[in-house]
Amino acid sequence: MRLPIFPFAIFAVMLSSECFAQEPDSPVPEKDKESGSSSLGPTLELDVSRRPFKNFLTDEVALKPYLAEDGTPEDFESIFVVGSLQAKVAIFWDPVVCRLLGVLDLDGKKDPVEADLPSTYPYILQAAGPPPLADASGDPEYFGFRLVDGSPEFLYTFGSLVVEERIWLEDLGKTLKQRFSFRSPSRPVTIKIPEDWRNRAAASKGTWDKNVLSIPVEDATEVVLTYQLVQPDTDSTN
Amino acid sequence: MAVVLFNPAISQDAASGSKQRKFVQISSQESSPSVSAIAPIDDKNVFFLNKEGQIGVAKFSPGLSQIGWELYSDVKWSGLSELTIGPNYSLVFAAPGEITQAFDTDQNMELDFFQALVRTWPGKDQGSSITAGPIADAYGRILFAISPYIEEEGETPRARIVAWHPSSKELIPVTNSQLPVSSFALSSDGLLAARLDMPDYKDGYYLSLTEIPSFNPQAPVPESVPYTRPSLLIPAELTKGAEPTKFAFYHDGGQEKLLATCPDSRRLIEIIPEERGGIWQGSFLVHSETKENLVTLVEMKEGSVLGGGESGFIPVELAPDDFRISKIELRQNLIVLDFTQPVDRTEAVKPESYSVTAISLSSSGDRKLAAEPIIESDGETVILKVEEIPTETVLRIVCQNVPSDSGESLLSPMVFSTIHKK
Repeated sequence: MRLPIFPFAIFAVMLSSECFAQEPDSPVPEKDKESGSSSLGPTLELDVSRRPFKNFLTDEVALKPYLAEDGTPEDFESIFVVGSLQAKVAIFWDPVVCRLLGVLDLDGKKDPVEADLPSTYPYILQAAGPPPLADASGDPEYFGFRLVDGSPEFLYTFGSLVVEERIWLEDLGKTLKQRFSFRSPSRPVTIKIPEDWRNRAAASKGTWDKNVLSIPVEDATEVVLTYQLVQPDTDSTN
Repeated sequence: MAVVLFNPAISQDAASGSKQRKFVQISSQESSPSVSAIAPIDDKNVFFLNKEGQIGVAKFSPGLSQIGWELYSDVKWSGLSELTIGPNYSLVFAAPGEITQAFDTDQNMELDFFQALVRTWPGKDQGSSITAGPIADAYGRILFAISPYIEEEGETPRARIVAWHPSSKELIPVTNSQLPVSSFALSSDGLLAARLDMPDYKDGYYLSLTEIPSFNPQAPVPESVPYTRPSLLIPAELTKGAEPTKFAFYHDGGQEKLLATCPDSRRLIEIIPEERGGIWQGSFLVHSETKENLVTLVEMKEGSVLGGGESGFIPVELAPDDFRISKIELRQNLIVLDFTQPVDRTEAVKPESYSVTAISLSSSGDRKLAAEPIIESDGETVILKVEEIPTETVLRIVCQNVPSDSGESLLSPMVFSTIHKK
């Protein structure tokens, strides 16, 4: 968004709102304390779009919500695609299932075997298994998203969980950050990531049991997952 | 329908109840954005969608010259080419699977909160999707069209225009239709013009005019829902075979008319609606041919229409030197044609300079009607005396050899009229 170089014309948008009575009725969520930059370098300026996209999933469980009546997978109707001019990756997030679907290497030229890349390459990350919050009973319901310092933060409920999930890139796109914030959960929250992602992932809070991260109630207001998209650290720790 | 669980972080001004939005400042720019949809704020300012699906704001002079524009959001939406202004200074737009409402919550001149306003509707489980809209009406409803679905077993699939309104937990049915609605427009007094999609029919394009019942927020769901029927036919001959894709009501000479844009032929078609005994009919003529493709149209103030396309905003103006048929009026057995310049009397007085055909809507077969021309004293009006004009007819009038007094050819020699009742 460009700011005006000089004000040439000023207009006030004076729209009658008499017909429109919709007012949000819940308190303002606590402002994020994370500034969007870290030791990994500044957050990249993101390009956010929402568009149809070819279904790239291969995992049977992850594909389930997209199967047509005849059992063939349908393409994504309208997913979020997040990228950056400074990074050669594209991140995909779907509001239907409310999950991160994958990260695509836009170069896509590496030899997966030589570079120790997943079989899903050029998708460095590709969703597999049930959604990360599937342990919360109920279905995901997407509410919307907002931009926080230029990063998309998806707002949804998953069963009884009220979730804010923000994603952004750091370190010239070598690192993906995924911040979860759960509003007043009644019990500890578990985030289950695909097994293939585990050696790239670290978490700011909680404890890992294989690929399942358990977060105590008191820490659930902010958990940041960090994924190394380049040269994975096989010894990832919390 | 979405339940409000998240707060779009309303700023202090908004939270304090201020109903006046902060100023939006626009810098002067000579470049033009691509424009795929326009939502007027007032007679000089608009929100718009560009071809990337980004939302912008633009300012114009009283003559609709572009003064400046600015992006209001960098987020790119792949969706329908329509944009409307919604509650609390929000903007509302659609993709086939969602109606989205966007806010500038911190009033920093950038949209930052995007709420999924509508994600479910009847028939969605059958594959029904949003095909047109959203458009806000005078009651504050957000109208959009959904593709045909079966409501009850054994029933014919029906498309619908439905409405979202904050007073109703359910979507409000507005019209039913057997054909999908690919585009629609609303007049200032609630007349709905809906383009009905019939892709296999190549001779013309169906348009429906339906009066929408008034809306009562205390009883939002009406007792009966009108049917959107294909009441008018825009002949493909008139559009040069190009589909009319967008419609806008506008005022001209004290009358509310419709303008349709056919981007593939660059023709604008003028539609003059007429209500007879509760049934809508109307006449069609070529308004103008534009230099650029216009994909969208909107009336900014009475009689002043702004178009938009790949090359930016383009005010819709009639070329002063175009020789064209500007008006058609039917009276019993008379067809009155107004021209923008005096006609060549030598040619215009000959009956063979005209061809009048009645194309039946209820049975097959065309009927030629013999025409006897009378030229009025100013030379700008020709009255064709014909035999009784039948009803349930599309009347096709071709002025095949009527040059102007100065030898110019007509922009289009054809005019049409759909007649249900007299």
